[in-house]
Amino acid sequence: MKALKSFLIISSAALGIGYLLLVLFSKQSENTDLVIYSAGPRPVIERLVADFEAQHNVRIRLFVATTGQLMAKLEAERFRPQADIVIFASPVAAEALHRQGRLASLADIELPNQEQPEWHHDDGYYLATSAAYVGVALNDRQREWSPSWLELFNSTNQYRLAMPSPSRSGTAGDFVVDYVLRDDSAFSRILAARQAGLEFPAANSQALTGLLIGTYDGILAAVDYLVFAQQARGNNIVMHYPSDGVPLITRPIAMLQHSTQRESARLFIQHLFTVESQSVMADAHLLPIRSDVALSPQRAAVTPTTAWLPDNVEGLTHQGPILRRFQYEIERAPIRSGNQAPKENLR
Amino acid sequence: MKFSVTRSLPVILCLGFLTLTIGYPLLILFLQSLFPEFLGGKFHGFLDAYKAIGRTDGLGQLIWNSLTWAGAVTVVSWLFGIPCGYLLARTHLPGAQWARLSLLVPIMTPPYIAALSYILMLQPNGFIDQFLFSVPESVRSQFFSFWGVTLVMALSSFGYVALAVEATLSKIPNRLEHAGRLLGARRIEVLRYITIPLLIPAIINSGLLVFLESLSNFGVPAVLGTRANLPLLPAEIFYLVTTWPVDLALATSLSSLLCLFALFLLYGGRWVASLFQLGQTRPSPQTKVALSRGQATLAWCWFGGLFLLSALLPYAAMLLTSVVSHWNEGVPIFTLSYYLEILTPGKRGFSALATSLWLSLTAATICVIAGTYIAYVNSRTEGAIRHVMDGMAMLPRVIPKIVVAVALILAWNAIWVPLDIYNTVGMLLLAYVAIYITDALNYTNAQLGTLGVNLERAASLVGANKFQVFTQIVLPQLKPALIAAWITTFIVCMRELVASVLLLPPGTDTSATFIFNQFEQGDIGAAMAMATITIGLSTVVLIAFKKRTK
Repeated sequence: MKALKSFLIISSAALGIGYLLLVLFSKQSENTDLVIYSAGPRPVIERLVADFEAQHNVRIRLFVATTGQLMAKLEAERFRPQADIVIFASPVAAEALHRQGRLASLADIELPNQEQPEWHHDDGYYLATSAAYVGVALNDRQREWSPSWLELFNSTNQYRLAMPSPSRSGTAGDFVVDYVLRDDSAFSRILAARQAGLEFPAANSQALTGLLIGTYDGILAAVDYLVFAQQARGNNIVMHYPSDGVPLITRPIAMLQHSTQRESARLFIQHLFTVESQSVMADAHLLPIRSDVALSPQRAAVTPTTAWLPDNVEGLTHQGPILRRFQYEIERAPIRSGNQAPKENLR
Repeated sequence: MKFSVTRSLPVILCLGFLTLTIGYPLLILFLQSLFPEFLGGKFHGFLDAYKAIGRTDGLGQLIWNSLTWAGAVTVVSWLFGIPCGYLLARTHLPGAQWARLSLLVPIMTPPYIAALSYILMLQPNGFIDQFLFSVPESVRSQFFSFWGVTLVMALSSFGYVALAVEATLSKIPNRLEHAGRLLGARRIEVLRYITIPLLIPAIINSGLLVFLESLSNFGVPAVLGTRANLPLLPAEIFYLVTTWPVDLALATSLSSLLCLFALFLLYGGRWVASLFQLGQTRPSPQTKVALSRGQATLAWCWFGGLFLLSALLPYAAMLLTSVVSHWNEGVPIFTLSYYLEILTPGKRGFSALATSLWLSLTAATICVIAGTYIAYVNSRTEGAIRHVMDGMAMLPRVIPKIVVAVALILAWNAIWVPLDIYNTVGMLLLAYVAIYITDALNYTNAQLGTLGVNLERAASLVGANKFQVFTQIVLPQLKPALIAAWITTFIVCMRELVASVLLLPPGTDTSATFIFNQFEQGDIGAAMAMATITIGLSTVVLIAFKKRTK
């Protein structure tokens, strides 16, 4: 009996391992597949890919992660690249790949219309398909408050504020780099705000949830389409663009230099500029690059008075040192005690 | 003794298995940190990354923080876990099955989800403030500090300690303790001079797991640590790997520091444990102490209190968030749509659950089978090979998982690998085995230390072959440890996130990556619903498994 039992155990284990090897060996992928690495929002890119596959005879293998994770994966695959196309949530990431000479030029690609040519890379190494502004998400109670960045970082304001940690959130990182490059006194201002109670939750969603349940009154450096999505779900929060201007963060698409599927890659890139694809992005509250596509009602309701495109080349050069300094001098600076208590129960 | 192939075959098998799954990727990783371009055929930049370690700002602080934090977590886990293990193994605790399950539940939660749930509960205007009572500011500031972060991590890992202590204690005959009592020793003296020394190998081995887990953990301090202001080495490494331009070489060289600490601790710990090894014991029937009503109540208060803190509190936050469609002026509006969405067959959530389930079942089984055999061969082998295998198996557990993931990509996506393993689910299985086999090894090692070789020799003398000795003498004696190892490996595979994110083939999800994706999209409700379902499913699997193995 014992022997039978152990025989059963061993043989089922062997079967399991055999099955495993089968899985390992059998799933040889077609090397005519188009491989796309993309940042979220996931439903959007999945929909775009499904539409493309329905129209063209190309199979796509899609991998969705955050921009940081995509960069790590690309770096690990550097010596045997897998991806043909990358889509990031930050143009600086694309610039980083371009600087290493890993992107192919898309300058000659035919796009339907070029209403925002300045959104693209100057030499066409990465193209913007859509974009988003970085501003402030405010609790509904602060609807009437329309602060400038100066007021937001003013250490005497009476609000509980948070900013997603710039070393964890790509958008907040892009915002901080841009803000610091534009203004020499930015560091001391944000430091004062930190000492007065500004918090740095680890991720965008963590910060936003804090806003929804009422822990925070405002989230600084919030990317607008996430806020619009929460509004559409019925949450009473407000997207506010400070009057002293907000950066426009484009969402670039690029083809990798080694790509063996250039034809289908270019087809796919063109596909993202069709009215249908642009509408899919607009419906997810992103700012489409085509102006003949309707904005989502939430986005249509607010427009920034001043906005600009950050300089990606400058951004990439200074990003490392700025984020480092931010991490050490600001994120790790203690909140001065006594500043927390009076800010509670503003409701 | 003359070298013979048949005699050394088991050792060769084990060494081959470990080298393929762990040694090879780690070697590639190490070479890559020495020569950042060597996979591209260039050998410049030798040692640059190691020189850069010295230029890392605040490195001493990072190391100090990481070591003290991991140490603090280990000590707190011991304080929580050892009494639990003792109660389960040595006393007639009413409802012991449920008590044991209560230990496993907190391990099932991905640590960052647990940390997030604690924040939702305890932050200003959090759930406790809104629905229960106002949290005193002093408690709050205590919680968002070094000790708060330590407490959360310890609560999610003391189960390891409890299980290991129980597994070992239930194998140690309590004759010695009885003898001590008969000879007039007081209870406390028996505990001090007999029980605890006997337990030291298990305590050290399980403490080692907790320590390594905390040393490489990134989620809990990342989520909770912003107010606690606790910069740690893994966070630094994670930052290096995921911010552009990526600095893989420096991340790897910093990881090698973690490896050094881990190796030092492993060999140190093993040496100390060996001093307390009981040697061989004869199996004997166990008698358990009956608890008086008061003692039983007290014991249950201990389990209950830990369960409240480690499971009920975070799960309440998780459950609440998972049924809220949106917030109206801080008032939740309820919905069940997230659950319906996930549980619809054919949808992404559903297939993610299925993938997680079969991957974790397979990985846990492979880990336990291979781990047991390796530990057994190891324990019956003399010399240096044993230490090499132990050390090798443990390293993937202490290197931050994002670096392990990178190592696996470098190794299995290298130009000389003929098979496209990298783009299959098999890659994930390989990762799970590489990362978690050390758990199985550790549990089995702790148990093997208490077994003598006499029974095996006797079996050999009466004509049993090696296979029979292993399956009929060794395995049955190891059973409690194997069950504990299988369960914990299954649970940690179910919740593994970081390696999965990078290694999943396009188009596949596990439940952890699903949670993370929803979370990234700001869809915290769906993320929490998935977390709740995953924990529920793990619990069901565990209960079924326990029923079968009884």
